Amino acid sequence: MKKRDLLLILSVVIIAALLLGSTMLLNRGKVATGQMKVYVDGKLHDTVALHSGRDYTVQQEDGSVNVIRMTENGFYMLSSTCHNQLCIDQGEVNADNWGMRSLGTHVICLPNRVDVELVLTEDKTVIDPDAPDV
Amino acid sequence: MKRNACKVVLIIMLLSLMLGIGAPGAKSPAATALADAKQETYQKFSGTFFNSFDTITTVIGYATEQSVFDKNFAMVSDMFAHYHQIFDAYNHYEGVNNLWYVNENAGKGPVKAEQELIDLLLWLKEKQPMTEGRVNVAMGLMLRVWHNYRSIGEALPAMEELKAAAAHSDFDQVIIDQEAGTIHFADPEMLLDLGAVAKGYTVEIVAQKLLESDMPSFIISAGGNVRCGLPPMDGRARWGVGIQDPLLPSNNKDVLFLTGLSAVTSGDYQRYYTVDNVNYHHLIDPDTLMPGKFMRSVTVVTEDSGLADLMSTTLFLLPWEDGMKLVDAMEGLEAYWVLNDGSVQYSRGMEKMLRSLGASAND
Repeated sequence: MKKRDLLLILSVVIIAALLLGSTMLLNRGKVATGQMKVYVDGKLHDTVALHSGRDYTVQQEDGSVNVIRMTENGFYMLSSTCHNQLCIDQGEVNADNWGMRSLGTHVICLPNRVDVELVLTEDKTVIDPDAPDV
Repeated sequence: MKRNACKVVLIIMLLSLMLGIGAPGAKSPAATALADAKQETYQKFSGTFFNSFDTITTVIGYATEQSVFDKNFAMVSDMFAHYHQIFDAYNHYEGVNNLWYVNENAGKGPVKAEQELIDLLLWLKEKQPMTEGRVNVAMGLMLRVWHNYRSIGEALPAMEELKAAAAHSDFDQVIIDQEAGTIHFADPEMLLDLGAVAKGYTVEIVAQKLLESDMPSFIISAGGNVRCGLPPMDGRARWGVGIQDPLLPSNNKDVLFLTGLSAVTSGDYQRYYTVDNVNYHHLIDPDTLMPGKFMRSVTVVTEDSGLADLMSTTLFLLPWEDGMKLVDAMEGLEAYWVLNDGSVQYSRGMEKMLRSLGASAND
């Protein structure tokens, strides 16, 4: 192995580590609020209190449908009408794993322009006071 | 030179890894102390149980510690189980003279009944006239016909069968002897059905108990039958209560901000069965003896959860214009209608409660 190769491998590892480190640094000390924000076309569509086992459906005028299944302290994309199903492959985001995911607190369906975010806050007070309790 | 570059790179890598691993949840001792000092002495707790009124009940409360919540949650759960037995029309429980027992025996003569059941019937004697005939708990025989067909889920009941059953639905024929603690059906054919009120009435009794407890900041949702106590102890002034979208019940149509109030919704999506691709729900119009068709749902907000339950059924079985007149004439009662085309109507007092109209949990 040449020194150049080694340098290349190292720099890739470093960049990855830096990216991971920086997202973690940005969200340092934050905790999940038990809410998710649903964005459609980049606009906030709804803020939802997480209820384990409950489904949230995003139905758009173009006929696309995304169903988000809520879990104990997170959520995942249960089904989507999109062609590539990448949003389903992204798996669950929850209070314990968001720091280790490449997409952080998000599950994103690009074809349907749906972005779901696990809401974090600096401390344990609720970040969106207007989200329903029940 | 190259060696030095490698070293620098390695150091950076190590540093970033250390930062990365240490990041989530890690705080300096000073920051933790500061957060503790700022933190409210109250924490939010929640719990869920399934054992009563065929629904999921969620209790959220602010308490100083877990044990305070657990104690009150256990009390709520026990009370629900207790009242569920007494108001259960379909099951017999050993030693409990419940609704099933009264329906079975009161046609033959006065029977001893649980005091809780007598109290609810006396409450109804007073409140039911407010429903302008839309709710009649004495229509049990007719509602049982619907219940039986709904359980089988294949066909509609014949109109003659419904009419014959509806002939036995005069609430005045229910004779209550308070001193003896007995109920007697002067019409031996009749049956009582408390489906329109039992859940809301129970929620109110439980709520009154919680208001006197060491956890007066609470919200209960018994399958959409919501009662709020004192405001949430996290700085907000009001609780947020989602109004389900009847077209897509997993989503909210709007959010209500309430404190010290109840919100109860009657909707055609809650309990129904399907015959020939048509849905037939459980809210039966006493005139047509068929499911009400005026709207998709109506939500009633008022203090007493029992009254909210009674009036949501009432308004569901009235054209919204007539319902609005009724609401306007009542003190401290508001309503929000979702009509068949998905459009909404709401009474005046709703304006300060709806998120879509700019209301917030903080005001």
